[in-house]
This record gives sequence, C-alpha cells and structure tokens, in this order.
Amino acid sequence: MKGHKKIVIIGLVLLMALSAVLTGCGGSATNSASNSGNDKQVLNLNLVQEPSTLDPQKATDVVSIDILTEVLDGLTRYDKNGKIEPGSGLAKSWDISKDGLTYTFHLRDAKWSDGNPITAQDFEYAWKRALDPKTASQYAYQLFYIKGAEEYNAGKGTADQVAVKALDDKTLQVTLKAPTPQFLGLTSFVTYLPLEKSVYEKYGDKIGTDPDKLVYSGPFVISQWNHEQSITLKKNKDYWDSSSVKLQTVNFTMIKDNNTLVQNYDSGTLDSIFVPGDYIDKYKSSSEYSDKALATNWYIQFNTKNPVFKNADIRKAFTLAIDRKSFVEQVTKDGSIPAEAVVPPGIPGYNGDFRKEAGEAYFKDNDVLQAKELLKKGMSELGISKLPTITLLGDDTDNAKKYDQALQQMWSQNLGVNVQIQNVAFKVRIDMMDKGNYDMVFAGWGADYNDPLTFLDMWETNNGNNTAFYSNPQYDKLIDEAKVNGDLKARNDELIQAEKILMDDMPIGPVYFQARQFVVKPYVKDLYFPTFGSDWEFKWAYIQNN
Amino acid sequence: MLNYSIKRFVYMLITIWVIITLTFFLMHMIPGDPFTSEKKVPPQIRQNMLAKYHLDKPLIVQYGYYLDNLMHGDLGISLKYLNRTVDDIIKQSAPASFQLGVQSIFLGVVFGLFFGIVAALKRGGGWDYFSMFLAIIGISVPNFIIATLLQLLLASKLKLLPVSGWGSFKYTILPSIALSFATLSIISRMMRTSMLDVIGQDYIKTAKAKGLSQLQIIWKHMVRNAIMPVVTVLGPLFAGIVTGTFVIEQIFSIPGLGKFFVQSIYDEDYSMILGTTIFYSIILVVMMFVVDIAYGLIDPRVRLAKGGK
Repeated sequence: MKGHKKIVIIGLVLLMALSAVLTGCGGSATNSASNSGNDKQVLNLNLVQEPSTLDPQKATDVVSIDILTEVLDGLTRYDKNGKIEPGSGLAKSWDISKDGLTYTFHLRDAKWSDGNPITAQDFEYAWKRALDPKTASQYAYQLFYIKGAEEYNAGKGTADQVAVKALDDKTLQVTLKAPTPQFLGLTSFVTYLPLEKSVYEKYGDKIGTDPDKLVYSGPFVISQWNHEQSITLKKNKDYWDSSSVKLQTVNFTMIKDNNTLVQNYDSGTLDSIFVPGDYIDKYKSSSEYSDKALATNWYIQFNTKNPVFKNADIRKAFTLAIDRKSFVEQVTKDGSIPAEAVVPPGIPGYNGDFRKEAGEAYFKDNDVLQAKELLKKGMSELGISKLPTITLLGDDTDNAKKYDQALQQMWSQNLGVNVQIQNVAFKVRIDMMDKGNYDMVFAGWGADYNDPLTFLDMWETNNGNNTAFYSNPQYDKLIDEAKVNGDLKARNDELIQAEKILMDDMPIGPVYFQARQFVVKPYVKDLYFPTFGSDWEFKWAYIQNN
Repeated sequence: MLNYSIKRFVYMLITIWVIITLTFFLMHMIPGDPFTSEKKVPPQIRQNMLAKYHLDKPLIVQYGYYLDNLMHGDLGISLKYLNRTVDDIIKQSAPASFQLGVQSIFLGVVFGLFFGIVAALKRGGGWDYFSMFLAIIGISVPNFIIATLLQLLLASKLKLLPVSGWGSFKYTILPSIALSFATLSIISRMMRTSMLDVIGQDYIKTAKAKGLSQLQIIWKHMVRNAIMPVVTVLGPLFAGIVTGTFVIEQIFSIPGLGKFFVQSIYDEDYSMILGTTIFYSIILVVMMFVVDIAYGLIDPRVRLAKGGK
C-alpha cells in the first residue's frame, strides 16, 4: 500500500516536472490537476460547526484552526511526514544563533492573494497585534517565548521592546527569552500566522468575518462562506507552492447530527468523516476505516487538597484499580490505547518517541491486589476506618456518562468503594475544578505543541492548569530546568525524571490515550490526519478513479 | 382601539424589560464565564479579555451598559463568535428558521383543521379513528424520530430528496413535514373537541331548520365558532416554531437560529443568550397582540366587549 503510494507520488512529480518544462515553468498550476485523469478535483468534508473566528490572532478552536491552516501559510508548515523542514513554509531557510536564542528567518518570494508581496513586516505586524493588550487575544501567551512579549501584553512594555524585527522585506529576526526547541513548530501555529497590515487597517475587528475580509497566503482561498451552513475553499492561484496543490475545490458542510453525518457519507455527499462512537461497529471491518492515536490523554485527576486524596497511597489505589484494557475494549471501543503513563505515544523525545525512551508503563494495569493493599495502607495513614462519600465529577455528554459509570463499577468491584457521579456542563466542570470544588474528576488534555513539556509543565506548583493543586519542589525544579536547557539530551532526561516523579506521587491517574476513527472513500488520496492541531491536512490530497 | 393598542404596547415593553433583567442576572449566576476554558491563560490575558468586553466591571454597571446599547439597537458582540455581532448572527440565521417554521405551521394548521373538522363530523367513524391515530403519533413520537425515519426512507433509500442541508425548496420539505406533526396533532384534537361543543348548540339546529346547506353550516356556524381556542394556542405556537427548533435544525443541518438558544447557554455567551431571549420575547408578545386582534375579527362580540370598557 505504502509502496503503491510512493510510485504514484514519484509519477506525479515526474509528470509535473515534465509539464513545467513544457509550459516554461509558468502555468503548472492548472496542469497539475489533469495529472489525475478526468477526476473532478473536489473534496467534501464535514467541519461540524461554524469556526469561532477566522481572525488568525484570535482563533483558538480546532474548527477555526482547520480552515486557517489551509488558507494561511506561516514561516513554517508541517510537511507530509509531520516534520518541520526549511522551505516547507514561507521561510525558505533560517539561522539559529549558538545560544539558541536568536532566529533569523529568510523569507521566500511569495504573494498574498491580493497580489501584494508577503514581507517580514507582515509577520512583525501580526505578532505584535496578537500581543497588543487591546486585541485581547486569548492565545497571546503562545508568543511569550519572545523577549519583551509578555511585558508588552501586560502593559509593562512597549511594542518596540518586543524582540521581533523585520530587518528588511525578506528577513525576520526573533530573539527568545530562553532556548525553546519547539519554537520552529510554533511558528506554524495560528497565532503566528502573518497578516497584511493594510487589510487589517481596512476591516479592523471585522477581519475574518467574511471571505472578502481576509487575504490568503496558503494553498487555498475561501470563496464562499454561508454562516452556520457551509464553507467553500478554492485553490489559491497565487500560492508559492501551487504546483503541489491538486484539489480545485474543498466543500465543508457543518453537520452536527451523527446519524445525518453517517448517511451523508454513505450516500457519497461526504468523502471522509470522523466516525461517531455509536457507528464504529458499522465501519470497523471496512477497508475505508482507520483509527489513529491523538496527542491527547485522559486521566482521573485527584484533588490533592481533599481530606482523602491528599494521601498518595489512596490516589494510587484508585488508579491501579482501573481495568484499562477492558475500558478501551468494551467501553470506549474506539481504538484508544490504555495509558500507564502521562505523555501520549507519538510525541518526540530526544532521538525518537518520548514514550519509548521513558518506558511504556509506570505501573501495572488492573493491579487489584496492590490497589487493595494501598487503600488499606492509605486509610491507616489517615487514621480512618471508613471512606467518606467520594464523588467523581464529569461532563454531561452521553459518552462521558458512560465512561464515568464504567469507572464507578470498577472501583466498586475492585476496591469495594461506592463512588457517586456528578455530571455537569463543560464550563461548569472547569469552573468547579478551578475552585477545587471536587473530589476527583475525569479530565483530558490535548497537546498545544509537539513536545512532552505540553503535558508536564501544567503540573508545576501554582500553574493555572494545575487544578489538582499538586506541588513537589523536586518536580518544579526539573521542569524549570528543562524549559531553558539548551542541551537537548539532558533536557529529555529531565523530562523523563519529572514524569517518573509525577507517577510516583500520582496527582493524576492515567486512563487512556485517545484515538480517533475515520473513514475515507477509496478515491481520496493523500489526505493526512495530523496527531494535533488541525483535523486534516489536504494540501497534497487528490481524487483518483472516482 | 388606539388607546387599547398604546396600552398594550407599553405593557409589552415592560414585559420585555422584566425578561431582560431576569435573564441578565440569572445567566451571570451560572458558574464560569465566557472565557472559562480548560487551557488556562495568564491572568493578564484574562484581564485584557474581560476588559475588552466590559466583563471586569461590577454586574450592575454591565447591566447599565447593556441597556444603554440596547436603546441604540445594539445587541453587542458574540463572546463565542468573536468579531461577529449578535445582530448579524440573528439576521443571518432567522430567515431559515422563519421559512421552516411558517411552512410547518401552514402544513400543521391546514391538515390539523381538516382532520379535526372531519373527525368531529364523522364522530366514531373511520376518519375519527384515523385522525386520533395521527394525533397520538404526532404527540407521543418525538419529532427527531419522525425526522430520522423520513430521512432514512425518502432521502437515503428512495433518494427522492436530499438528506440534509439548506438552499432550495427541496431541502425544506422533509424538515417541514417532521416539524408539522406536533402542530397538526394539537390543532386536530383541539378542533375536534371544540367542534363537538358547537355541533350540539341550538343555533346549529336553527341553521339546519332554516334550510342552509351542509357546507354553509359547517363553515359559517361551526368552524367560525369552534376556531377560537385554536387561534389562542396558535400565537405562542407560532412564536416558538418560527424562532427555530434546536433538534430538527440539527438533524437536517439547517443554518437556523434554534441552536443558538441552547448552545449560547453552554458557551455562556452572554450577549447571545440575551439576544436570542429578546428576539423570542418580542416575537411572542407581538404574536399575543396579533391573536387579540384576530379575536376581534373572528368574533364581533369580543370587539364590542372591549370597546365597551
């Protein structure tokens, strides 16, 4: 299968090269489509819902990111293999200073969809706009690695003190506060996408509310946007790499109902969908079906200020008493992976997969005997003979309720503990967690960037996301060092040690690494599903033999 | 009549103001706020966001801001769909819901009246049982099941109509039918009961004795007298349906207003919650007013009674 794809790609490259020679390098954009025969190069996908905003500096939700990453190129762009390479985005190359602090990006010659050249000033402008307190961008902190950025956003510095500068039209220089290995990857993220100054000045806060109120630098442009209904993308003729783009049109619907979604896939209106949980059995044996692990972990988070869960042995008892294997096989049934560690597989370590480097498991799954012993030990440490009523907090979706009940049953069976369940709306759950109004909660975390740190730094003392109120000075020290360590091998070891401490103290009990399931029609080729960030990458996708 | 209208208008304004005030303070009691998210942002960023939307001010001041903007016809910016105004969202979403609502009410009323009248006239006969059967289905089977069945049969299997979406008339047929069942049931049962009341009245015998044709008796004497209760329920029913229905719009993927009534509360999108509430209240009180006027048109006695006051 893979070999077959390779042949197709090589063939296409040869054909494209030939056509470029024949047409004198200019008009290869339109010719590339004909490479795939007479197939209409149209892809139909479901966006589920309306993007919150297509203002790149304000977007935070996955739906907005789905669209923005296809219509705007940043300095870098993840390639087909999920790697950042020089030239995969608008920067054709970059130099990094020896201390790892100063990045100098050299921009390629590229044009906005309105015909104006894309300049280093467009990046400087966009990044400073994201940091401007008046923009009130939620993701401004994604730029806080840059020197002077946090101060400007907090109103304690000026825009000129932010260390991002266009040296000339094609050179952008950035100075960071500390060495940040994930910085190159971050420059592909929405908050870092460029914006043409004159366009922003024309539309102000209306930017990105309609197709004509944005200019594009990516593989596609938005040609139509019927709010709450559909979005249509067309190939961007001015895109610097337009010869790689074969699709002429991408149609997005916004279907929320699962049954409607499945019927649209079956009737051929949609070419690929994410399979809703209840329909996995329907497709599982089909050749169109695949599942893929996401960079997302789910865990039981214990409130370490709680009179019972302040005891580490009791936290461990509850974690060990979960039968993860049955949980993913009989409850989630979606290809999720049992988790006996914090960082999901697929996140890079020093020289490969972090999960492999740190070891797959820190404890044994479904270790009932050990769990019972730990519970007994913990209770005697606390000087209690009976546990008070314990409540598990969770979301009020159908799936969450099902999962919570399965856990409840496992604790009852394996530990003999009766756990109550409280299901509330998502924002209410988050608010209760922030305020510490819970005993334990079933929660998940998705990667912000492709590095183990995104799953580990949140458990530092007083981190806003540390709603388990966990605190271990040794752990804080390791994370603080890893954040600024330019020696990547040593940094990786620090992160591994930190994860081990976290699993010794167990403020969170890992349950599973989330997978997602999708079906793709056989005539759709080279449609990629990244592990984090956007739902799809279809820059290279094409239709064959439909 | 003019006096009466002015009085009604003032009452309407007061009603809407009370609704706004109650909604405003109730929604702020929900734990969390529009910017609550699992990924915490540095306090300064949160402060910037709250400041931009005046959410850092005391509640009573925010209330003042809101009323002031409302006086100028400004419903504010959505806190979920950043950069889009609530006015725009309502303007863009309401037409689809309105068209769907009107079509389904039309179907529901026409068939509801027909079945109600026929059932009453042929009491105990086949038509009566058939209409009762329809009404039981319409009331006891939720509309999302009817919708899914229609979708499966007419769209997926027979491929007569599209599964979902919005655009031309053919997209509106299935959702309109699915949505009309409840209206049809309510109206047909109500019309039947009310018709049976009227049939037993002396003036029907008189009309028969006068030698009027069957059709004339039914139309002029029975229906006109029996339709009053139906008109009464039709007002609120209409307001409820034309402002959008969450489930049907979701199943058929219709870009209507229905989802905002539900989703805005989950999102704690304050301006959207208030916007949808105000929109619905206005349509509702206007419909009640229209119903009152309709009473007068249908039944001259109502007009006289009010004029006499």
